[in-house]
Amino acid sequence: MSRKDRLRAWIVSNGHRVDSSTLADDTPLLEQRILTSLQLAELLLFLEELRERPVDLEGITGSSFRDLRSMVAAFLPEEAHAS
Amino acid sequence: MLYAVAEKLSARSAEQPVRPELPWVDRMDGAWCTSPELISIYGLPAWDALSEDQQQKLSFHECANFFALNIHGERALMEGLARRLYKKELADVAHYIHHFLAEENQHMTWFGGFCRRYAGGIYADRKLVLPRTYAPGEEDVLFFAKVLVFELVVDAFNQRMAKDDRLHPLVREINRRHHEDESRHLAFGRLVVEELWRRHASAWSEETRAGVRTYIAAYLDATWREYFNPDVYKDAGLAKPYELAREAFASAPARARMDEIGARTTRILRELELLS
Repeated sequence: MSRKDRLRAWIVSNGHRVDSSTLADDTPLLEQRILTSLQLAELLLFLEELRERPVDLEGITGSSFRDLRSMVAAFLPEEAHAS
Repeated sequence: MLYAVAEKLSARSAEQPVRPELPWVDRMDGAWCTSPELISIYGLPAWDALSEDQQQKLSFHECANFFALNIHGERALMEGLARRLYKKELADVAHYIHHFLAEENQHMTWFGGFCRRYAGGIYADRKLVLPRTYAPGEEDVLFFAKVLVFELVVDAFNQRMAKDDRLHPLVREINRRHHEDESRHLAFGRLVVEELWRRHASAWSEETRAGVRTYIAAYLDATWREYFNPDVYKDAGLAKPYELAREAFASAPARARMDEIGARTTRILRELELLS
């Protein structure tokens, strides 16, 4: 399973009102309240684990979490280039 | 009621004698800095597998994390309080808010002083607050309710660690001083939440009221989660820190400990109708 697929699985498992058939790369996760701001700390920990290095937290904003594609670009850039 | 209590609390803050500088030491080695029973992995096989030296090292990093959580919580508190100073709704208690701010600022110098001297820095804050829309008064209710949750949880740790004579005297003293001030802040915070809820919640839809309760329950959970920090485990030399943090947070011993330490927090939030 790619890291992007693992991230997708995390969102499906922890998100509200979403399943794997409805989650697209550009589904607006915060706007549709699939994820809440209180879940972002846990998500950051998961992203750090996936990328095997810490995230530089200064400068992180909500736009990095807008959708799956934004998250991959912000936190898993190697996956963005691979896909 | 709120005004009268704020005046009394202001008088008590003003009576507080100037505290001497903390008894800083050169190094913080070979000492317990967190009560073992309050350590996030206490009661788990990962804890039992550590030597006493390793347990003490973990107790130091857990203490640095606890102090970092206080810094991040108090920074957000100071920002929010400063923004609300002299707002019409709180103008009568502005005098006490000035004391509150001064005391929080002093606390941060203790926590920051400890972390920078002995831990080489401050563990990062992973919380993010995103802009959203609120019903009238909802943002203020949530702000003060979050402050209350944060302060109730840290105060439960402060009270226990201030009395634990196994801990390094400097750590005990920081916990003792913090508890001394927090008891006033908690009295004020509880009344503010009660007053703001009374003023605003009846005008909200049932959906908004339920949303506030859901949010506070999630905030309480997220607050506890921060006590299980993989950065701490990494610095203490523990294997698979992210996995350990996740598993420890979900474990039965940790759940029982959070229930026990957090009993007062839960009771007060229920009394305020902020938790179902």
